[in-house]
Amino acid sequence: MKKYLSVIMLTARSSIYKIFPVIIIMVAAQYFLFSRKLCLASVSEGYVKGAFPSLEMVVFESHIMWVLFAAFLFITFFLCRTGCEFKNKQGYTLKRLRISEKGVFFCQAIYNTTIYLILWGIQITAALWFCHMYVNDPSFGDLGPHTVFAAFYRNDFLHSLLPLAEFGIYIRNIILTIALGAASAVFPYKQRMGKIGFEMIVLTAACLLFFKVEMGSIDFTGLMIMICIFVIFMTIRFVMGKEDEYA
Amino acid sequence: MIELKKVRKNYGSKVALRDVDLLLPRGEIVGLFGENGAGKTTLMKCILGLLPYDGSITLDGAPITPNNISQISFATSEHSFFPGLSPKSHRDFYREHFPKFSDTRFEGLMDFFELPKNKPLKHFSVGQKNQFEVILSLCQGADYIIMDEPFAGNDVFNREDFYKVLLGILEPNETILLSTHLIEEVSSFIGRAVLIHRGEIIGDVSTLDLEESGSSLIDFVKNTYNYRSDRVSKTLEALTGKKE
Repeated sequence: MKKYLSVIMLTARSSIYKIFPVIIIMVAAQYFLFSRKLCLASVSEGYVKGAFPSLEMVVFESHIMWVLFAAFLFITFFLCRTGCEFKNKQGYTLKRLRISEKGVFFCQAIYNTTIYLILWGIQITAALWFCHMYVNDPSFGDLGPHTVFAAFYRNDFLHSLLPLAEFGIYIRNIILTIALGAASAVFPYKQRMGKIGFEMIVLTAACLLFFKVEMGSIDFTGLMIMICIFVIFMTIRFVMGKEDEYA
Repeated sequence: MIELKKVRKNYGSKVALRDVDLLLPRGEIVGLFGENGAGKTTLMKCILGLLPYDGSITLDGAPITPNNISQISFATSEHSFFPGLSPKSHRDFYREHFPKFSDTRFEGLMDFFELPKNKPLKHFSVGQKNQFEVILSLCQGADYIIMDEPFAGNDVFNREDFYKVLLGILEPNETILLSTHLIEEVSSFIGRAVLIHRGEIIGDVSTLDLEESGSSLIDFVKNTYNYRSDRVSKTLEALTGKKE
């Protein structure tokens, strides 16, 4: 078990110092954009009492979703880069470990999935914090938890993050996280063999296009689940079909 | 003992290794010499299982697999370490995967080369990276240490001191297969020279035999390669019109 943990630690040591600053910057940027929008909304002469912008409108107009996507792209880049060979040939070392290269892939996939789960969790926490800021701002009147509850149904971005009673999107998000972890782990594995990890490119594009879904949107949720299952299947097929290079 | 039998490796239509037979017993320092593209690196990578090949390569009679690969270590000028990690992190990682990893040797060689332990390797100079690559290969507790141009980029003083340290620390059961162009520099401490040319072993001699015959390693290499000593004077004559 320790040898598997050491590979996970190796991956973490190579990437964590880049990933956590990205997450911190993401939350800081979102806070800045959201609080600026909140401030503008509350002091703007255009908003008279009783006609203030809704929470979902503030979330939409503060563009926090695009900040998440930017952070997602950076994190994906760093995770895919970990284990890639440029000038060095660390693949020589990975082939000589007590665990196989397949084992290294699975360790990296577990670590990467955890990172995406952390990103998801932090984004939900940050979104709830921003909602709390809105609800507690006296400019917007006497609001309660139902405002937050309604916003998580009405705003597509918030709903895609935390879909409340819509279990289909939970399943999609969990499968998406696993697919992202697997695809970002197979990317360096393929790169070391001179191949391109197209799975990650497909999945990143799909995330940017189909992550944000309306409540009850079965078609896009289903499409995303199918893309994720395809990516997981292709990844596992590649890894399991790969013979160790020992002739 | 590492034994290669009829090892053949092709890159497309180009033959990189042609039916190579070679024995590497324990406790020898073997120099592997050859011109660029002769097949030295390919031969080493085949031994390590990094390239597929035809023929057989065995370690103490068994095929080389993940079960026994830890008995062979590799130092390469391409560098096989993780550039984002520090030497200390490498030590921790290698300890888990190479049960015979020698902390004493690691610390001693790190001090000898005066390398920083907490700085990521990507910030090291080329010479320092080479030194660290060699350190890792020597500390894994491997019986066979394969070195491919390990000193490229290091200054002569560092190399000479390192050779002395290397001779001092090697255990009797440790074998080194060293590929280098620095023939004269290593001639004083290798026990055997293997010459490879266009994928074929064309010479294999012990330095003791050379000494007894009154020949030097460099002469042996030149003779085996049919070195044309007049090619410099002929070229100069053609270029300058003056007779040497």
